[in-house]
Amino acid sequence: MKRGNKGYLFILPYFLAFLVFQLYPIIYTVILSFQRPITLIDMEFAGLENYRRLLTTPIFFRAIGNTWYIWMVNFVPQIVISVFLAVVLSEGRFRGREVLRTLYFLPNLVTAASIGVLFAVLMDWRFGTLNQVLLQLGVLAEPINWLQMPRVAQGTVSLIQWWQWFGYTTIIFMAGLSAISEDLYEAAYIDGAGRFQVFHLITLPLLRPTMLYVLVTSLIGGLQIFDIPRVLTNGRGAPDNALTTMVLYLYNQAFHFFNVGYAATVALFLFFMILVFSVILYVLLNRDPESARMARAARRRMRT
Amino acid sequence: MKRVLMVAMILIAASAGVSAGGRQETAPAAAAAAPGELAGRIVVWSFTDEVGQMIEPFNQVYPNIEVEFVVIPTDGEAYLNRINNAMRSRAATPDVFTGERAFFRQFIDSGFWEPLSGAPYNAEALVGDLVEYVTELSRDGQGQISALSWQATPGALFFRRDIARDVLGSDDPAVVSEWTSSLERYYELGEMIRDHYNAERFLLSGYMDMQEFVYNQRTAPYVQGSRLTIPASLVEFMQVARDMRQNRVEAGASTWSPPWFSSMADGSVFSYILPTWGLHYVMKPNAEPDAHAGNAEFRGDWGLAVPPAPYSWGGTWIGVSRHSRQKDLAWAFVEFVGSNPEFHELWARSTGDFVSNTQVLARIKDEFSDPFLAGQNHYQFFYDQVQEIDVSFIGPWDLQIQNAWGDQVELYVNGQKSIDQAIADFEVAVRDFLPNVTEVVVER
Repeated sequence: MKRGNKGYLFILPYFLAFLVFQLYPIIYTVILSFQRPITLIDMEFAGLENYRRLLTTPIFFRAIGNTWYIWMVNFVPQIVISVFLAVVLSEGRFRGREVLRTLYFLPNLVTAASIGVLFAVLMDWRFGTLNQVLLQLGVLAEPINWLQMPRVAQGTVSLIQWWQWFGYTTIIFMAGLSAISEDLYEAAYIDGAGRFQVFHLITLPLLRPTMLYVLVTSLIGGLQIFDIPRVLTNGRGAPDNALTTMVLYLYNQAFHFFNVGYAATVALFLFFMILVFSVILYVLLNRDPESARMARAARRRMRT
Repeated sequence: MKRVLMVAMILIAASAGVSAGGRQETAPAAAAAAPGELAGRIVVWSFTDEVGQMIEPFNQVYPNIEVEFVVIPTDGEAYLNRINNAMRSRAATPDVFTGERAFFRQFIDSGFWEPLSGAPYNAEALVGDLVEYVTELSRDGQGQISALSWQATPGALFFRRDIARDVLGSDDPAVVSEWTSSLERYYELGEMIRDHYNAERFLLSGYMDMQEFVYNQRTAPYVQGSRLTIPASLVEFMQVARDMRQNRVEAGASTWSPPWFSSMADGSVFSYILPTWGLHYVMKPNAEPDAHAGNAEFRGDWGLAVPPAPYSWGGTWIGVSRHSRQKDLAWAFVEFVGSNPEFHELWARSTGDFVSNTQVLARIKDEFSDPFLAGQNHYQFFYDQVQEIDVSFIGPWDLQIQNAWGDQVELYVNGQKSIDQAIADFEVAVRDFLPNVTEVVVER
């Protein structure tokens, strides 16, 4: 063997694993998407039937809408609060900030399924803590079946997601903040910039790469949300499919309704949707002229 | 001691050739062989651990068949996936596996289990001694028996005796049954309980508890060809459920939710609608956990009454894998567990489970008395109920259809949509998993 070829041996294990565990399943998913079930395990060729069905099924579109809604309602406040907390915890030299940072991060260590069960018990309409407290305080005269109200159920999932992830996002932003040179802030303050100006013109523009990372990873995770809706609704996506997210829909088609072919079609759609939106986000946040312009503007203002 | 005696009984019966009962001469050499001559190792998969307790009695009769038992939970569809993968790859393991009522019809339609009616198994010879619906439900498209079961699961209604005494003046199951055996009177009883206790006690923990007997009130399968029919009884159930909620006849808990379980112990609920397994696996451990754990005596607060309509719920079937390479050994296990009268008697006496062998049921039904039920004979009760069960309308998609219907009932009960909207949304939901259904008929 030529010496120059030996390097291939070292990269071979990765490629073998990639072929077996990643590329093959993707190709097989594409093949499955053209099949329909005869029995639990036997399939037959179905042409484009699954794709036609996918594009004419109202519940699937509902699932897409639900997933985006749940993600947006969780993500927007998460970004705002996390950036705020990151700035406060990074700048402030007060006692106990390490403890706070740990406390914020703790929910991220609890499994989503446990949190789902916890909220299902808290929000139970007859015996749940929330209704009991509201009844005791006289806010309610009759218990409200919160989890049967579509918007409340979706809001609950968003809240759980927010609670689970805001600490993690805060820490990521703190890491991003620590990479910003202190000199810039110092120069800005010497030049008479206010706190808001510094935040708006230095912190935010320079947090852009961190923001991009948070946004893309949150989008990928958020569009694949599955565990909490499944636990809260026992896999049914109730009330009225308000918690049927794309992956829950996919899972139910494959494992409750035994239609692996159609589920594969949903999976491919989900894959391309995440891909397209990740690219869009990347392009939007990485527009060089824009960031260059903002950086120039920031520098100019600091000099004046 | 009782257990040892029973095992000894099985041994004696086996040596007399009783366990081979009814087998025809067409049986293969291996299957016709004396139990002691069958030797080898089989693998059994199940989602429930009770099968593991059957190995010891089995080995008393078949000492040379080693059984490796694997429990795979049904949570997250883990069990279904394992079975599907094994069948897809035509794996020789497992030799024997179980299926639950909720999905075992899918196994049968997919041909996962060996058909057992013909030679060399000749399971038809066993049918006369088994509860009819148990074998009828396991027939495949060609009418062949695909699996057996050690149990039958007729339904009942568990009631709280103190509430019955307060409201009806008697806790005699016969008196209570007069009020629980029709839906109209049952509802009326609910209003009486509400009025008696100022709406602090309820007829049911949740209206959903009634679903099983409502769904069993059909005469035809939901899906016939490309047409799906919802009978009028299901629409009536929607209305009754809403009335119950609005009139505070039920407590608003979902079946299997934590409040549902806790209301068994707090005395606030009059009745639970559960089948045979509900007594030992649901009621006892939740209503009287200390007594169930052996730390106290049962108080005898509960009784059994006739539900508004007969029903069966759940049950586990066991069959020989189509791809097993030791079908003679596998069949020996399935036949023993699913029909052997001595084993069924042992099983009934040691676990209290309601077994499927009618000869055994007839022989032992008078001997039971459960302290949890204040000495009431649940076996006799279930024996009477099992005669009423009709399963001719059961199909492979029942669970999914009923779940979709139940989701809409809940939204209607909560006042979130009209009955017409609920029915329209049900049609959308059902087409999502039954794409070949072109017509949905809801009888009203």
